Amino acid sequence: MNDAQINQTTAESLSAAQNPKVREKRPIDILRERHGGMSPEMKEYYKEQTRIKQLLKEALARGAKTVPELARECGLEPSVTMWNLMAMRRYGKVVEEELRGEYYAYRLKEVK
Amino acid sequence: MDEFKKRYDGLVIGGGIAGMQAALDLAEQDYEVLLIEKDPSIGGVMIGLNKVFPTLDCSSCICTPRMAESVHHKNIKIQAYSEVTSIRRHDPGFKVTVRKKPRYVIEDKCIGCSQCELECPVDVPHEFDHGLGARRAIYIPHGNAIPQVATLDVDHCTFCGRCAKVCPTQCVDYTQEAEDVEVDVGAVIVTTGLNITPMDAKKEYGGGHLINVMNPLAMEAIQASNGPFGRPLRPSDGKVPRTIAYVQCAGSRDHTIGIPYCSRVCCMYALKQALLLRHYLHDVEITLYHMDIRAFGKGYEQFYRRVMNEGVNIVKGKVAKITEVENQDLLLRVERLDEGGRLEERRYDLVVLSQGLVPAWQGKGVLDIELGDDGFFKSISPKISPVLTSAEGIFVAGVAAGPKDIPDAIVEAGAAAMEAAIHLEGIGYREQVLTASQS
Amino acid sequence: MGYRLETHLDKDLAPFGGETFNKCFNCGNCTAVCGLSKEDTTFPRRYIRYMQLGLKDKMMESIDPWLCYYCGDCSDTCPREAEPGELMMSSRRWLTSLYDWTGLSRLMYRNNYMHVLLMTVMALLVFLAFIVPSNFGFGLLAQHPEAMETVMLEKFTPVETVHLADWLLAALVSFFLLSNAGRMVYKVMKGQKASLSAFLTQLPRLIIHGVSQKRWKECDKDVWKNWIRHIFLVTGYATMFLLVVVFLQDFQVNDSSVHFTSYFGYYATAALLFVTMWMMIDRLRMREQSAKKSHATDWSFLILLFLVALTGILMHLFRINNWPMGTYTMYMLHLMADAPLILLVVPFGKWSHLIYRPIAVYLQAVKEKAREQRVGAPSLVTG
Repeated sequence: MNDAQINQTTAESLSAAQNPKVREKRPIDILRERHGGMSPEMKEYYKEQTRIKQLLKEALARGAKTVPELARECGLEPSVTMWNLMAMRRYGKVVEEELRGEYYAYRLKEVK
Repeated sequence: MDEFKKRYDGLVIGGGIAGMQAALDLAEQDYEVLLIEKDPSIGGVMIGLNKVFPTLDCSSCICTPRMAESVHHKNIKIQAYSEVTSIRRHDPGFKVTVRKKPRYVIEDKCIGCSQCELECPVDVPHEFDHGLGARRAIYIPHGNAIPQVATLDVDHCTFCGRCAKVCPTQCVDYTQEAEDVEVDVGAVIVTTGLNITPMDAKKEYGGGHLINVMNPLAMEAIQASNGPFGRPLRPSDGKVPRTIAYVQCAGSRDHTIGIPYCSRVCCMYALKQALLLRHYLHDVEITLYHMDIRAFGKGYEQFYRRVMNEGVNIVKGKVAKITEVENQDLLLRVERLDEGGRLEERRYDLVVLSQGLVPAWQGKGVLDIELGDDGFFKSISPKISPVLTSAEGIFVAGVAAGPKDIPDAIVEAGAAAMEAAIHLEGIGYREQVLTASQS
Repeated sequence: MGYRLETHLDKDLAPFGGETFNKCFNCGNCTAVCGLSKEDTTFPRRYIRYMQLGLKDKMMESIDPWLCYYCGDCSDTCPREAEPGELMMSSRRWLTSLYDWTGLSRLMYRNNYMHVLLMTVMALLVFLAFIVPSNFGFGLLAQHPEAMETVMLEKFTPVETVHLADWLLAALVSFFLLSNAGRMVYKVMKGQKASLSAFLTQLPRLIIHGVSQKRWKECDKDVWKNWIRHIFLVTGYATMFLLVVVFLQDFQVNDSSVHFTSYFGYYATAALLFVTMWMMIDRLRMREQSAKKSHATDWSFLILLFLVALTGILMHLFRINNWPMGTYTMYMLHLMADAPLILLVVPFGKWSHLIYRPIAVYLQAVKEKAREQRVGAPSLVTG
């Protein structure tokens, strides 16, 4: 596929998005239908994860904390806290700060 | 080699270090090779290791050149995220069906920019980190992945459609479906490698339920600089471990779990990990409990002595029980044979089970070749020609044939490539195919 | 101190069931997994090492096998399938045969034919005593035809005669059992330098453990099952023993009337029948480690005990229903089963563990006490 073709497809998809009357089935809907949507477990997993992330963000907004501190403050299992915190760290939401005793503290990364 | 041809001289199943070596050695002799890998990236187990024994070379530093070489070789076609679903004898070679699993990403268009991954809203336990770290539902497995393209894990997808929106090359294609491709090949090399013993194999070790009882590959991951925690921490609460125990023969040489053989690498990887942990962590106490240390390769015994000299405690005695106590610390019960058979109960922050190697694939329903008693593919001539299987034209190398370390796997892969080449010449594969296509 | 190495110990141990010790590579899993193995007494690994090295004297001096109650955890988890639990079991058989000075025990354990033959001869002797014309059994019955009409035990087996025989048997068995136990104590404590006070102060343990069987409760597996079975066995047998040896005058009722001692008999019979059947079923099902391998002596013990209880209760039922010949026949069969059980199995066979086990626990305590007295403080580490 050359650049011209790519530009063409981009233009097509843009025009489809801009024209609400043409409500053809979006590709993501096809995928969702083929897989019967999110499974109940996945829905629950996603909901819970969103809640935990929110809790962690709020707690970290009040200052840098270690995993046990965060777990206590958010009322979460330390292992759950750890996993989600490390996920946030991996995707650049959280950075490691100083060592406090046997635990490292983590803080929210400033958004520039 | 980019296009998928109808015919290859050799098929290599499994894109780990052995598979890549076999493919390269065949390709260098001017045979055209198709390399099938089930995971999104080639590299196998080795690309997930931190360092290798006994040289302490960085594993990815010596594995990635091989990966790059394979993918750029003019005679090698790599088909990752695909599985071989059938192999039928079709004279003079085999007819093979390959199922390409849908990545929902057009491989040729993806530039590996990670925009989709950063945009994806859901975190999923990452297989590459053995569940310790996170990836997104659409993800590139790791920085060294080849091909460096994204894959959508549809089971964890929230169907929000954001990945397609942010993709700068419009390569996310939600309508992809699995595709079966048929190819003719002249010889097959099986390099399907290993899994480690399941963590729930022994109930005495917590049956896989204790979070601070780690598998050795997870320990490799957290030791690596690109690891899920950025440094070695324990998974339950992020504590910097002060006491760590290694339990040797946790998943091999044990009749009770049906794995009576020695896995040959556990002593060495445990010694290596213990040594590195002594380097990475300040003031850490590491005890390695073993039945006996088997350091048999070149330079291995010297490495073992070095590890002892650098302060790792080596204790004879098989750990009988691991129980979780408060703070998710672990209590180990062991008879210390080095202290006259004294019973010891000791508490540790972290325990690593030195799990053994079990076959990752036994060819069920696809490959009708004999298995040995140990479940690995059987070599019909284990001394003289260890890569020969019960089926003519099908060869085996690496851990698929039995537990072995990286150098042994590479040597065996080379041998398999040579045997495959001899086989192809012997049956005159190219000539036969040529005649067949002309008549 | 030097020890002699027995190079053919494996051949000696094989008939007792201890064939697997050469599979062991001394990892210590068995010791560490054992609920009964304590800091100062660790087994079975050390004992299996003695077997491998042929340290017969060390094995003779050790009480480790008696401290094992065969829950089977070690065999379940042994990475080599060396069956440490079964090795302890076979060592108990082996030790039993060596504690016995008469050699009968060794003969029975090593030779199944002799084992069966001895028991059969014993039963036949009893049978003869009943049938040869005399003032006993069927001989006496010939002189008293009225006893054929209605149950008159006095005219079949005069209680004084039986009681006297009981006493003689009890004395004989006690003599063998106690002399063997004495040999055990001597072997174990030889060179141990334990004071008399250590022996005396720990004496209550002997009784407590013998009666309560409480060590079972320290096992990790099947605790209640094994403990209950042994409690029933101990109390059932002790009850029966007292009824027969001490209170026979009351227990052996002459006619078909019911005496209050029967109620004790019911308990003992129920307990013995229940437990022996349970144990036999387990041995047939071969699920638990301890039931997987059965030596001939394990079977003879259970079968005889079962038969004794069964014939006893049948005789009782026939008697109170006033069926004279049934009663007399059962009486005879009862004693035919009882004689080999009492004379062979108790002092020389499986049942001798009723005394060796409490003694082992006792000697363990004596050793600890002696060590305490020597060093003035509890020491936990043994080399």
